[in-house]
Amino acid sequence: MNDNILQNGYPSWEELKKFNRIPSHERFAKGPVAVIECIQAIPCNPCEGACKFGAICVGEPIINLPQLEEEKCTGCGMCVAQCSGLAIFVVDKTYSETQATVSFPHEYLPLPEKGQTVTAVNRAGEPVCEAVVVRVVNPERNDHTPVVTVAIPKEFADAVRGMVRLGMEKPADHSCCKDYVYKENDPDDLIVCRCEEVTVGDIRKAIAEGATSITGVKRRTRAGMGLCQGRTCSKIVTKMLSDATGKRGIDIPLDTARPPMKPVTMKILGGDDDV
Amino acid sequence: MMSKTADVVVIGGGMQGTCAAYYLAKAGQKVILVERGDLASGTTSRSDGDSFINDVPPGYMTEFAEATIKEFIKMDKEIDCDFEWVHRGCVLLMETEEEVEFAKELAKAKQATGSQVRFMDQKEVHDDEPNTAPDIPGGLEFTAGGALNPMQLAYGLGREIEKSGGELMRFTEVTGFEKDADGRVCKVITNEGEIITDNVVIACGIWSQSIAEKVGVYLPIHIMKGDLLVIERDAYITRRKTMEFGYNLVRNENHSYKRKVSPFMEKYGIGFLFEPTNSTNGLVGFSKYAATDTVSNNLVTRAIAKRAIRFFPKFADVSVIHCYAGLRPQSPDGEPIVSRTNVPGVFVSAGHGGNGIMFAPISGKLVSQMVCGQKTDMEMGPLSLNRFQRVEPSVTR
Repeated sequence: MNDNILQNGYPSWEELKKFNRIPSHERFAKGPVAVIECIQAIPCNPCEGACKFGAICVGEPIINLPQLEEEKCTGCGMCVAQCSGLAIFVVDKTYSETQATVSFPHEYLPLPEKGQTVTAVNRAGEPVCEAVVVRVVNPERNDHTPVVTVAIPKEFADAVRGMVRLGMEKPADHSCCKDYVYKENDPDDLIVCRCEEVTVGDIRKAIAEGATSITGVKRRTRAGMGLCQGRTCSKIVTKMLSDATGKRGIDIPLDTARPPMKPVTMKILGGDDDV
Repeated sequence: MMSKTADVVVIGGGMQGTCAAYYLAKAGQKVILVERGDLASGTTSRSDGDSFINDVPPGYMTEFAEATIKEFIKMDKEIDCDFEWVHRGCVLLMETEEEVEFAKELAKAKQATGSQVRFMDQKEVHDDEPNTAPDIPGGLEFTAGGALNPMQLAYGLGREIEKSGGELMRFTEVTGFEKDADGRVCKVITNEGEIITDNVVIACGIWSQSIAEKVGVYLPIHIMKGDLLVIERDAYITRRKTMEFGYNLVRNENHSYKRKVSPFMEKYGIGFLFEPTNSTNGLVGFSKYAATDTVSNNLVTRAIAKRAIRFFPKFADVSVIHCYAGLRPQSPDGEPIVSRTNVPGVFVSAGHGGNGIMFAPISGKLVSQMVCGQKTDMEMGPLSLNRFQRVEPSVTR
């Protein structure tokens, strides 16, 4: 149901619409308003207490999504820094004829300064447009979650949700850090299985020798036999097998899951059971 | 599909199958090895891996064990594969004075047949390894024998077989056989086509019975499950393979002896075994009970942990990183079946129980000698399939 947030770590526009997260056009037309982009049923409610106008309601059970009473919201932004999921923004589509402002939590140093030109990014962290910093607030009650407000062209008001971290203007290569999965030109000495120190070269050799499954690679190289049981490397091994065999990743079966889920000492395992 | 021809078809790509095919190929036979999955995908990858003379009673079986250890040592030199062979002997620990008495006798009996075994008293045991529980009254030290990685060996032998002109047919299932007018096997039928051959070696571990049935051979093999624990790397307990003496005593010499264990441990055949591996982690076992699944039994793994702490209290703070279980192909008397059968041209190397890895090289060599019509290194009677038919002449299926 919440596929995008589960797979990519941020909600898609469709998901936000589906969960009724976007204030109405009428409300946007009246001035700044909180946009609560929270779509996961998690037990959390600081936003409810943060709003002194009683505009946010989570209620019981605590896993309810917070509901915004648009008319009560003044767009003050008190809730932005209180959301531990960094999921609340204040958007003012009435800032000027051509510009809107977006306020967002920004937990990176150095902080921008008022008047500075920065690069605004969308929910995925991809650059969208240039932005001018209008305000930076970081009072003690924000508990180290500064809130930055930037002015941007109006058409990007629903897209911009942050800014590129200063000093990191060259955007990071997300294709690599989001989900590293093996590239053909990766060097042979790159370590894939950290627990057992198995390299790309070892796995290439195992596949060349006839391994056709994650288990086959494991038995030949030890990749996945270590402490984490392949939590890291099995994804990479799957990709390598998929490249080598032409099978889709989803058609390459997972390795056998074995107890215990996490390492457990013998005294706990041996415990006081009557065995 | 085109049919292939071979001097001999080996069925099974585990430890027995790869060993048999290796010796056959080395002897100049044109070998085709047929394996339903990948090499080493059955019990071979779900076992521990060692070869010691302590696991068997004195006499023929000890000779058999010493012969297999010699083969391992030779293989380690001859084949282009590091199968992690570490030849450093093992220690058996006693739990009671009664066991000590038995151990002293056993040591004498094994020494008499030339085995290198030494009795260690309480002080010697603790001087040798201070981690041993203080009340352990004695131990037996065997100098011969070592540990290995059975999977690496199977893959290595696979490469050797191909180098000698043999063929591996992996992911290929045997569906039937054909016999000629004289009743001799002449064809193996697989889902990838037919293989014309005069000889077949059945070496499919726990699946041997169902394969043998297709060619009209009854193999009395039942399945005994075993669980193992893998401990974290670099947790030093002791430098050598160490196991309890009591379990072997019951198995090999004195079936009426009762170990000091809980009814649960008795029921599930829980014993203590520790095998430091080449990768610096360690295997802790073991169990032996009738079951046919390879899912770790939670209570059994608990009992194994408890039993391990009894011999080495230091285990208490060592982490178990995962558990696995495997299935032993067990013959009625627990010893291997390396034999001709009632069908001419059909040979068996199976039913090795918990000693499959250990006995694989010598079994493979003997099978190869039988197939090639050579004089066998050992007398085959004690390993023969006939020994069961004599006991149960009415067995038919």
